[in-house]
Order: sequence, then structure tokens, then C-alpha cells
Amino acid sequence: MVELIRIVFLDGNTFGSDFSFLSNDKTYLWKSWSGVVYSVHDYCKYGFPGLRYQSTADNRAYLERSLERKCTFMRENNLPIWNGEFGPVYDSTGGEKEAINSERYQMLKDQLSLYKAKKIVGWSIWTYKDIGFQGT
Amino acid sequence: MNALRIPFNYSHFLYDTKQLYPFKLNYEGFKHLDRVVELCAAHGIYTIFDLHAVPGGQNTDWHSDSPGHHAAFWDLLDYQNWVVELWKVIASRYKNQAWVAGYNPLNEPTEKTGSKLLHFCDRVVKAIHEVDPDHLSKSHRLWSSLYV
Repeated sequence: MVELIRIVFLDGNTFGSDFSFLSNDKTYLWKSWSGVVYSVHDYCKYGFPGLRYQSTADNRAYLERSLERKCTFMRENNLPIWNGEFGPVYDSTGGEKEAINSERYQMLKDQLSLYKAKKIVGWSIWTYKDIGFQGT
Repeated sequence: MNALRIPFNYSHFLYDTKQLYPFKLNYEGFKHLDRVVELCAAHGIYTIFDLHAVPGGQNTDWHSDSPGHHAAFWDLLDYQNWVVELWKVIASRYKNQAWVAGYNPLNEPTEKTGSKLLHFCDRVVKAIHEVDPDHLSKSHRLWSSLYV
């Protein structure tokens, strides 16, 4: 008989990046939990003003390292990972905005392929509704 | 896309933090959450509840409503107690709503010791599961298949 349970998504410390609060716990409290999925927020520096993303091999390797360093606890213990919040901001005012935004869309594509390849159970982009802070 | 993460602020449900006692919940806050859950359900979309701001602020950024670069949520145990109570009320309310896929009880914490966060997580996971242990019916295997 399969036991189905309500899922609780737990964000890592430091804005969804650090699970050492669990790996350092030598009482292993996390082992007493069921129905938990561990949530990272995989924002990337290339999605913000100041950096350009070229989808080079190095860029894509960076995306992978940046994701994996948040996931070490879950990988070590074979636990499910959800990317609960991530996404670039968009340029709405500069002269290069089209180029910048298409680079950011490309980065998003690369991130989504990465999540598929790395068996991240799901993701939720920030945000589906732009009230003026993500750009246009 | 089959699920939406719905962020909300504790202030829909809990009164002014300057009033410490007694703990009171504002049930009017559920008006909007119910509406969103039902709207999504009507379109075959699961919802995941995200408590994005808690009393005192759980991180040092503006989006947790922290009073100024300090995560005061971790300073006062009563703030954490209220949030655990709030989650019990939420979990109990949506116990039979199959389209609520799960709960994200604390968005983006920053807690210097790690130990307060650990204990808060332990309390909230156990509190939610105590109220709502066997939620998903067999017809909603999508999320449950993560586990079994």
C-alpha cells in the first residue's frame, strides 16, 4: 500500500542555496521527515545587469556548477530537488536591450535543459506576472 | 506548466506584530487564496503555497518585510510559534483540496546559526503532516510519484 503524503518544500538557508544546516545536524532530524522536497533558488549572475551571457561552453559549465553547489546535500542523500524560484531580469531601457534580452532568453533555455538533464523534479520561474521589476 | 507557486505575506492572516497576545488569525485572508486555488484548479493547475514574508522577517532583504537588513523572525520564538500555527490552519483548511500540491513554509531564509532554521523546519514539517497526513488521492500521482 502506497502512502501518499502532502509535500512540504523546504528552502535552503541563505536565499535557497545552502543546506549545511541539515548536513551539519548530527542528530539527522531530516531523516525523520517524509514528504519533503528540498528547494533551491537557482538565480544566476548572468541574468542580472552588468554581465553578458554568450552560451559558451564555459558559461554553460558555470550554470551547472552554480546549480550543483546548492544541491550537494540532496545529491549525497539521494533526495528530490525543486528549483522554486529563478529567472533573469530584462532590460527595457538601454540601447542594447534586444541583444541583452535574447542572451537572457538563451540563458533561460540553457538552464531549463540543465534541469531536465540533472533530474530536478520541477521548477517555478519568478515571475509569471511582471509588475515592472523584471523589465518589460 | 502544471503548477504555480503562489507567494503571500503573513499579514493577510496575522494581525499587527506589535500585538503579541493572544494569537489571532484573520480568516478573511483566505478569500484571495481560495479564489486563486479554485481558479487554477479549474484549469488543471496545481498550486504550491509560498509564505514569502513572516513576522519580523526571515531574511535580511526587503521582500520578507524585514525591518531593515535584519532577520528578526529568528530573534523571537513567538514569531516562529505563530507561523507554525498558521501553517496548521492552512494545512487543515486545504486538506481535501487535491489541487494544492504542497506547501513552501518559509521563503528564502537567512539564519546565521543554521540551528534555529533546522528546528523551525522540523516543527513545521511535523505540524503540517500531523494535520494532513494522507492527502493526495491516487488520481493525483504526479507529485506523489516523487516519493514512491
